[in-house]
Amino acid sequence: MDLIERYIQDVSHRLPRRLRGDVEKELRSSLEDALDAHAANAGDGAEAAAPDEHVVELLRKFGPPAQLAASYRSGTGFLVGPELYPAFLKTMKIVIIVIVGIVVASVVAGAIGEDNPLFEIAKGLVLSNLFSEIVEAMGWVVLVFWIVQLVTSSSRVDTPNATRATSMSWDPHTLPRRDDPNRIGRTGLMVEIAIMIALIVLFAVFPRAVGATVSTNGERHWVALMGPGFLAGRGLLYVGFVGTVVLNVMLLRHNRWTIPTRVFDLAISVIFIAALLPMVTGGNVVANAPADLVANGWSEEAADSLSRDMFPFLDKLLRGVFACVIVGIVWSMVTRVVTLIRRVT
Amino acid sequence: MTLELRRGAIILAVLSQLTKEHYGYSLRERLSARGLPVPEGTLYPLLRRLESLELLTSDWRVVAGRPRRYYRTSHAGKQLLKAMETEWRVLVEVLNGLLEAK
Repeated sequence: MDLIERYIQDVSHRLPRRLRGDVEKELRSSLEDALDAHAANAGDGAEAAAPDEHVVELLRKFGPPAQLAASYRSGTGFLVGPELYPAFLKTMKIVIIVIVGIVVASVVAGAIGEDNPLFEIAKGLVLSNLFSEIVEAMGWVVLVFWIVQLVTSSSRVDTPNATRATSMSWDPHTLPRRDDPNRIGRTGLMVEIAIMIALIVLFAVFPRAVGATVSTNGERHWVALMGPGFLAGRGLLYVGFVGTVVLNVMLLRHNRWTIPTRVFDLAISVIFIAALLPMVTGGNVVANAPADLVANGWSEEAADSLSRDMFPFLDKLLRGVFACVIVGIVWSMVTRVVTLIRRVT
Repeated sequence: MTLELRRGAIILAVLSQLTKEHYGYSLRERLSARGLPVPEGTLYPLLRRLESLELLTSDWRVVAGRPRRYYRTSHAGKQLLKAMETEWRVLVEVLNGLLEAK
């Protein structure tokens, strides 16, 4: 019966919340009816001999959870399908939390130096843009998942034989265990690999792409947020990114967390802390040298004004964000060490 | 293509059998006994979709200690059934003629 509950949970997890309760109830009742009918047909002895085999056969007939969940969602032209839906929801929540966190950090940073004229500007800017920033970020997340959806679904051949073959080759024993601490989310790991590769490319090839258009003294130009202080420390970040890719590939191969992968995961966290710490305590992170600004189209007066007023503020803000990230990593390390100790003992 | 053909036929079969109420499993058994086995992963979502289109009505009842969802073809479903039945009979006749004359 555990397999049945795992199956129902996996299907339900891929459905919109409003459908879940009803579908779970109907699925459970239908599976139990089918099991009872089999027990009646086979006789008690045969049923008792191989109950698990029959459950496996029955679940195969219902099909892989992603396939069944897809059938429950009306229409076929959805942007994000059931296979990606759990990862999509998780990413969406993270994006919203990060944006709100940055906005709050901006206001707090501004409040610390309330006499700073930038406080009012920062407050007005972040508050007026909060809604549009969240909508824009959500749009990007939908776009990325839609592309992944297109790429993965176009590689599938939708024929009855192919569908039957998928159902029959699917092994219900691979269903995620309920409350299993070693369970991995395959889609989430793949999305993380894609993000790590994108970050490596972004930092290595397009470091100036991370920034914002700034207006001052009647001039309006692009300012790269990652200044020399940040770029100098990015070597260790690459090690962390590559380490994360390697870790995720290992997890995808083993299909669950093991003690070595947990230790490796902790080591990567230490690398990220080592990469971010000098950025919090060391030299200018943002720092666009006035000469660089002039080379990028700013007048000398505007470059001076930016270096004097804007950059120290942005620098403080960015250091605050990095410090928060470090605290988050340390906290998550503590919880993971506790999990690891429980695994070992 | 055979999948597309079957899909339309299954809707017609479901609407026709649910003029008397059934729960999912009993409907599947009935269709299967009459020579139209429908995979579980197709039937249950289809019932849900037909209900959302208001072609079926349903209600939950606890029978022998087990909650079951009973479905029945709605008034709109019966009207559609009538139209589909007429269309089906015409198609069968026309296609039989075409296939025999190939």
